[in-house]
Amino acid sequence: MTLTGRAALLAGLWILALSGGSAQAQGPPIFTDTPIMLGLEGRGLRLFLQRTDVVQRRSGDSTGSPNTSTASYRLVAGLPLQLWSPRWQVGGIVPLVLQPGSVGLPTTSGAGIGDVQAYFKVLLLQRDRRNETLRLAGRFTAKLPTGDRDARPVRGTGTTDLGASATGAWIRRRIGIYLESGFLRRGTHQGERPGHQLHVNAALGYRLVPDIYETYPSPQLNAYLEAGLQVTGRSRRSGDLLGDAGSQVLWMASGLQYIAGRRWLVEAAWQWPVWRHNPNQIMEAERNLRLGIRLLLY
Amino acid sequence: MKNPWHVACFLLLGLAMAAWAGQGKLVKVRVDGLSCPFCAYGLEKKLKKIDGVEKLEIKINEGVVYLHYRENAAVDTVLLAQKVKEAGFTPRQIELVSPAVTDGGRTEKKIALAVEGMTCEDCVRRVEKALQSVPCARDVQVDRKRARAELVCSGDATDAALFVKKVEALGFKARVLENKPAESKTARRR
Repeated sequence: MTLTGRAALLAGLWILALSGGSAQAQGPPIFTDTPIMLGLEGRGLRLFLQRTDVVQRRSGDSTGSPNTSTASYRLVAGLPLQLWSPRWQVGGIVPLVLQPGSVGLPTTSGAGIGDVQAYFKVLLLQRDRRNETLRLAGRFTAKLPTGDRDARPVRGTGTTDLGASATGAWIRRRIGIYLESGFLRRGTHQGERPGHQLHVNAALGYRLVPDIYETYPSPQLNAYLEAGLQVTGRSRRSGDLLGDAGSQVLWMASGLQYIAGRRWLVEAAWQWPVWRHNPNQIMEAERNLRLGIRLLLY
Repeated sequence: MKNPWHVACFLLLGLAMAAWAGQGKLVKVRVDGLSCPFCAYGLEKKLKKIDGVEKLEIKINEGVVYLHYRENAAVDTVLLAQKVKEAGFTPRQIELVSPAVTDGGRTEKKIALAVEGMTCEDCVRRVEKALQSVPCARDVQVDRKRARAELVCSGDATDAALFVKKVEALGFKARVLENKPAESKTARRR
């Protein structure tokens, strides 16, 4: 592979890593958003390190054999903050993009802040019963072009994107079902506007331990199985459609979450695509591995 | 009683009972929505701040919180319910578990209100809903023809005037007709 080819690979890799974040929202479960804005999701700090393995394929579809693969890293900090009640929340998501230079190009290694997200979440529905809750929330997101698009590796998309999503959860004793759907309206940078994105995520959570939760606090182990579909529209330049055909990715994820006490939890999950259609893309994420911690700060 | 273990056990039991007697009031609050245990931190923190609360236990499986009050502390059920709501959960029944015996078992009050201005079934529903929103309330019955509302309130601190306020906030006129200890279950069976 030539130097230009590798540089293109890295540029694509970072764009992929940065844009992929929109489908992987904050909250327990690990990749799907939650309407429950209490405890560790209320006022705290979420930190996770995500490793994304990316391959470049000879042909555009997933059947082509990969000829180059590499890894990227993002250290992401999420800061949710309750406003005057647990029904209202604002928050920020700050990614630190890391490139260890492990792909054989030492000149492209480096680190920097990526595109920062700010969000506002409001609880729209709450139906509580004994050991059971049903909640629905709306979320509005603004993704700001704080990442350096011209840096190598690329740290930002250069566009200001606005998103709206709805998320619902039903939790009863050991089982939790979460659903999330949203739309991200991409902004324009130098006359070019990437395709808008639509995503639908679902998660099933199950408390493995304890069997019967008696007195709070008690150590707890949760397992999650998640799935999601992300559809990206075609890009435009000065209002005209570009040659790309957009993309559709269906992914799955599984993870474990250990809650040790009142104020912190650790979690680990991996995510992989099970089906995708992206005829004009040569860069594809093979898997995401996420290791995280959430701390309650108040 | 020659066995020293038996003596020790009786001594310990005596000490425990003495400690319990000096512990003050125990209040049980049913909290709905407690299905996410690690969300309970906010609830614990809010309830601990209530004046008079010495300690509390959150029983996730039962969906209840037990609050241990100081002996002379007043139990404000409205404040308790408000704190549970502020923590993001739904308060339900609030009852005084101990010292129920010293109160003759009569920790429940039967309250009757005269309500004027209910001209439709929707008015009845609104009044019912308003009265049920008070955490101690149960067995709420509103009779439009008799212009009367009846309910049972569990707990020791909720004032009947609170129910009047709730009804008047809807635009109706209300006054307390009856406010007396409810009959015990044993008495009712007779």
